[in-house]
Amino acid sequence: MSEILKVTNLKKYFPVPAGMLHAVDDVSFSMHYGETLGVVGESGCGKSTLGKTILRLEPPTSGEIIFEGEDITNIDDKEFKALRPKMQMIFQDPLSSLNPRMSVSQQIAEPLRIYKVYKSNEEMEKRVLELMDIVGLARRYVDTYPHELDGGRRQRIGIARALALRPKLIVCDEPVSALDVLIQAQILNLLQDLQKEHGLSYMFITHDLSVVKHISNNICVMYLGQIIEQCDTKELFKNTLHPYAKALLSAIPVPSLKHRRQKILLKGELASPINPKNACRFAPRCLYAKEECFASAPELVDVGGNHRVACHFVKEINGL
Amino acid sequence: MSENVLEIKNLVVHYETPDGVAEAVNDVSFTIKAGETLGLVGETGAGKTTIALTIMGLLPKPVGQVIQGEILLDGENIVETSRNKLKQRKNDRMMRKLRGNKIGMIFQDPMSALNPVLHVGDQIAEVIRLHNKVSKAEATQKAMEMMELVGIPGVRYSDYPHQFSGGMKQRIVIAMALACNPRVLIADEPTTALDVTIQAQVLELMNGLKSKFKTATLMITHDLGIVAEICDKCAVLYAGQLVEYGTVEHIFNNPQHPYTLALFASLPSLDKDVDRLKSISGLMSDPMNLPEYCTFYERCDAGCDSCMELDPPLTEIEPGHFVKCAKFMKKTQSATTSKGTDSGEARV
Repeated sequence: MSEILKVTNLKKYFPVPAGMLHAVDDVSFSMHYGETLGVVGESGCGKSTLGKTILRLEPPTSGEIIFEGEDITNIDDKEFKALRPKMQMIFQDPLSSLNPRMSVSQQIAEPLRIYKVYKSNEEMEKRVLELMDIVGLARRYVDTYPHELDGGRRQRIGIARALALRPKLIVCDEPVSALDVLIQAQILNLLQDLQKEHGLSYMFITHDLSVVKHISNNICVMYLGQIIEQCDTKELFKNTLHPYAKALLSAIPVPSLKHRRQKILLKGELASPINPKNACRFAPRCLYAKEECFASAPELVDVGGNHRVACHFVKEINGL
Repeated sequence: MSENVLEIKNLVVHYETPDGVAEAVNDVSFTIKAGETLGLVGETGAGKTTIALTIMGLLPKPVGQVIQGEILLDGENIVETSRNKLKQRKNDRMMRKLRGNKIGMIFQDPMSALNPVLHVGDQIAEVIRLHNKVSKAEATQKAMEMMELVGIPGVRYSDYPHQFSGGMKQRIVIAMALACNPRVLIADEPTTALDVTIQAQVLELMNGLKSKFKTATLMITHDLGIVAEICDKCAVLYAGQLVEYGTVEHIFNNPQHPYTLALFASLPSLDKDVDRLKSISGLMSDPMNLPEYCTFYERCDAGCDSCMELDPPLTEIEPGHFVKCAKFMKKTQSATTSKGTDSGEARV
């Protein structure tokens, strides 16, 4: 049982006035213990919805989520409460995910109180201080409120709160994108240290490819609700196959002058995810699109070495 | 090409709040020539946006106050340091003529920079009509040309902002900022709210327009990648002071200030594999309570005891490359260019 999470054909549709919004459309992947899975994509590609659906914050439309060998796709509230301590989430904006009227210790103690982990307040306070030490928050902040702290420290509260119940899986939804680079480096280091010490598995959702390269073992690149390329991190950056992933990679501004690389500039923007046609969703922006791309949707297929790509012409484009 | 379009000299800006005086900008000087782009980098609270607002004459009054310094636009001073109401009002009137005309600004969030209940085309035409003696039809014509220039079909003149995507809204804002062919363009984090592929499109557009309009651009960003991509010069701001200033070649190939070095080391790289990112502990000094010595001392690895004794001046270490660090002082004592923040602190 080395798989902590296995997701099969997961779909999450939202009914909107114009039709069905396909936020997550037929996504399958699996995660192992102690691994970090990076999920990359632009805004609106469904990466946050995927994270929320896996934690059952949103009920899935169809598909199967298996967490530690147990099907959690359709469990009831009672079973769900027993499950929640094992899977937690760290949010993007620490200020809006923390309660402004709770002190640091109250925020961190809240999950402990809800789950009645400790019988006495003393024990709970001891654990709160321990958690503050783990995430590197000085003990003098125990009675301060979120607005008194800077972004990095706020994010540390969010991390301490997520760790309180000793989870196995943490979904990190853009945990560093609201932070300055120096603070970002501190938080990324902290997340990596915690992973080693506590054997955590992360699902790391971000739009920043350089961050995801740094922290992940495996990467899924998403486009309009679907995974279009999936492989281990080294392979993706060495051997990018999907035209969208290539464009995404080339579009990152690199902080070096030697690197004024040739960019692949994509035309246009993300198409609408409402009632998509049965076609390759990237085709309207793709440099290599042919008739077939508009006629049928490509499947995510293994092109060798566990490198999966959803593109009709992956072999032709890359000369495989 | 050699004329300085925008020249900032020893600018000091304070925010005078009931809780005390925040020294937001301390003795900042830089110049931008026509067709040149200066990248202003720094973390949240370093004073980047305050500098932009000061140039635009949009400091919140009466809290924000320019204490000293000059901002020269084509050689003419456009800031008023006096607290005299009449003089300030006169300056406001002058700035109203310059804003949108000779100085254009692109804001970070295109959604809040556009009026949701006006056609986007009319919003561009408004700028043109305010500053030029043109008829309504001519302004409309010119607005459509501007839209085409930034890659939006002129037929969408009568659409509302909500009908455009983020990238297209930012293009409208760019069209608006450039409509009067300004001498100076201030871009305050213009692509932060956009996705990377859209960001690449917008940066490409800005690069193309830069060569076409010969505008002097002040690019405010926290992303060193963007600086490397489109800027000619770079200024690193820390606690309201320039700590390093030079061409992009100076900053990227030969960074010298410990803070600049820390910024580079903290970035996850796409080329190299590193197990652990380098970061520095601590936070930027509180602008309400700046130390009298080097503001970076508390976080500096290379700091020695002498750093606690003085505030090092910005020193030229090679032609055009300035660093504000004590380690360069002894070598080039005579080449000092600024005299620290004494005047600012004396007031507190």
